[in-house]
Amino acid sequence: MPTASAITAFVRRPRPVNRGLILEQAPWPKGTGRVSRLQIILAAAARLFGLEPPEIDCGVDGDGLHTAVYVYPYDPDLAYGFGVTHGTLSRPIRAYVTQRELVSFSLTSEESVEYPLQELVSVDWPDEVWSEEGAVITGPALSVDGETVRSAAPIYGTAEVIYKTLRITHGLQIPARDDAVENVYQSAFWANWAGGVKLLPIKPPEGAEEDYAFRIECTGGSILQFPPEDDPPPAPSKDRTITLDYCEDFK
Amino acid sequence: MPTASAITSIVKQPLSDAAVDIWARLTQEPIPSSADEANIKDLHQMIAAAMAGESAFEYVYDSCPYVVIIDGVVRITLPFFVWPSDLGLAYDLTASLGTISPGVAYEEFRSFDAVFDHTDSYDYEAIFVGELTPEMPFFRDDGTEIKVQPSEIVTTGSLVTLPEPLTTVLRAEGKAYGFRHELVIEVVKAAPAAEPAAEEEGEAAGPALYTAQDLEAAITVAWLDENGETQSDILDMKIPGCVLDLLETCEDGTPKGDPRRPPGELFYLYHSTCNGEVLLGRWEDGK
Repeated sequence: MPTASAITAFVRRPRPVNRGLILEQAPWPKGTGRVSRLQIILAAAARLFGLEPPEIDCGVDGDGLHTAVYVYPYDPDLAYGFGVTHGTLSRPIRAYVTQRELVSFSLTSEESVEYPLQELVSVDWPDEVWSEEGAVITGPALSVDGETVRSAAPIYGTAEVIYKTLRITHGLQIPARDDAVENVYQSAFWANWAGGVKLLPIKPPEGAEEDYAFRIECTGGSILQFPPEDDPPPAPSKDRTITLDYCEDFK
Repeated sequence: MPTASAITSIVKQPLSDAAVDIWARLTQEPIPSSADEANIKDLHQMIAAAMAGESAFEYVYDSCPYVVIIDGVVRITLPFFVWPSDLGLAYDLTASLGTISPGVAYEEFRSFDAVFDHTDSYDYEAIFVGELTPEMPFFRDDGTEIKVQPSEIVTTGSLVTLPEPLTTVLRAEGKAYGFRHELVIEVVKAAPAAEPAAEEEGEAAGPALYTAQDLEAAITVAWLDENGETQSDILDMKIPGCVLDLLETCEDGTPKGDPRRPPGELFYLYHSTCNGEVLLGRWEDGK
């Protein structure tokens, strides 16, 4: 049962420049680079009954892979240089995004939110709070100072913090390194500012390197295709022959 | 050059004078995911077989080069590498299961990012000879950019060093040097539940009985370090999924059949033309 207390304090302190920023790669959508059971069943049905084959997201298309790097500066006015070791960056997009975090206290009175907090929307106890003895108690007063969330007393409980943070999105396209024998999509994003530097190696989608090594193409980013010189279909029987073309038949 | 033999010592040879930090590392030859699990390509092939009037049981995907079955004995071959700090380093290899083939001098083209994140050194897994190309500026910890001359980037064996702790990425293109060995395991698939005596007599001469659940193997490499003390490294070998699948038992406890049937045999499935019920399935001469 919520035993909430209102926000009692929110302190926005001037931040030292050398805190810099947080770098993060945009997560790949769930299932990228994988084939689900349902897709296998749909592929079988498509093959047998002439239906449309299922779409499969390899995360890579003819131009390579497309991802994004998020920069979260502690100071919205922070000036930073940036670049990428391999690939092309698009024009950065600045936006304030709302984050909702559950901050857990384990008989503690001070915890932190994950990203630079620019504006606090709300902080509350959405559920029960327990004392050291395990008794349900009224949630102590909560205060927020920068990224630090404080409870007026050490307790067991989870606070919900909703806040806004500045996120600068750098779109990134990484073509395959055709001259490399491995790690063809390896790249890193870097950012430097007066006081520090950070590096973020980019993670390609699952299976991308292996697909490239085995020349499994994923043109259009949707359908797995196999080159015609790959395994030919089994030898024809005495009764009937069906020849499959992995480029044409599975588009 | 070490010439490792099956679970035996290797003739000691002197190290070169250049060796300071002495080590040996083990890695298994990467197993492609296609050897771990079936993919949509396998599915297409099996459907194609069925549509062509053949049994899909006949289809054996060719991405499992780790196993052959000879007279009922399953021979599993798992390649691995020893990467020594010096190609003259003497090392001993032992295996918890199976035998180890003699080492073969091995070199392989490699390309990778040597990432320096607030550090002045990068240690690759193997002796590396090649080119290192900076792909971004060199930054000090305070964010200032400095110039580093190519002569200040020093490669010694597997170690790349910079003149001071910096943040940068060097693209490496070149060759890694080491030794390639093979771990060879011969097993017999576990007998059906109806024949427990065979398992009880597992210590008898000949290949042991194994199922997918109890097949584990580890390699240990041992060498003398710069102080003359014995050091070692252990590698738990990953068994490819296609091998484990072969060793799995069916739901009734019997081993799965050998998919590599003699040429000419086909799996015939007899079914009722009245209600489609499967009456019998068996291997027969395909002629």
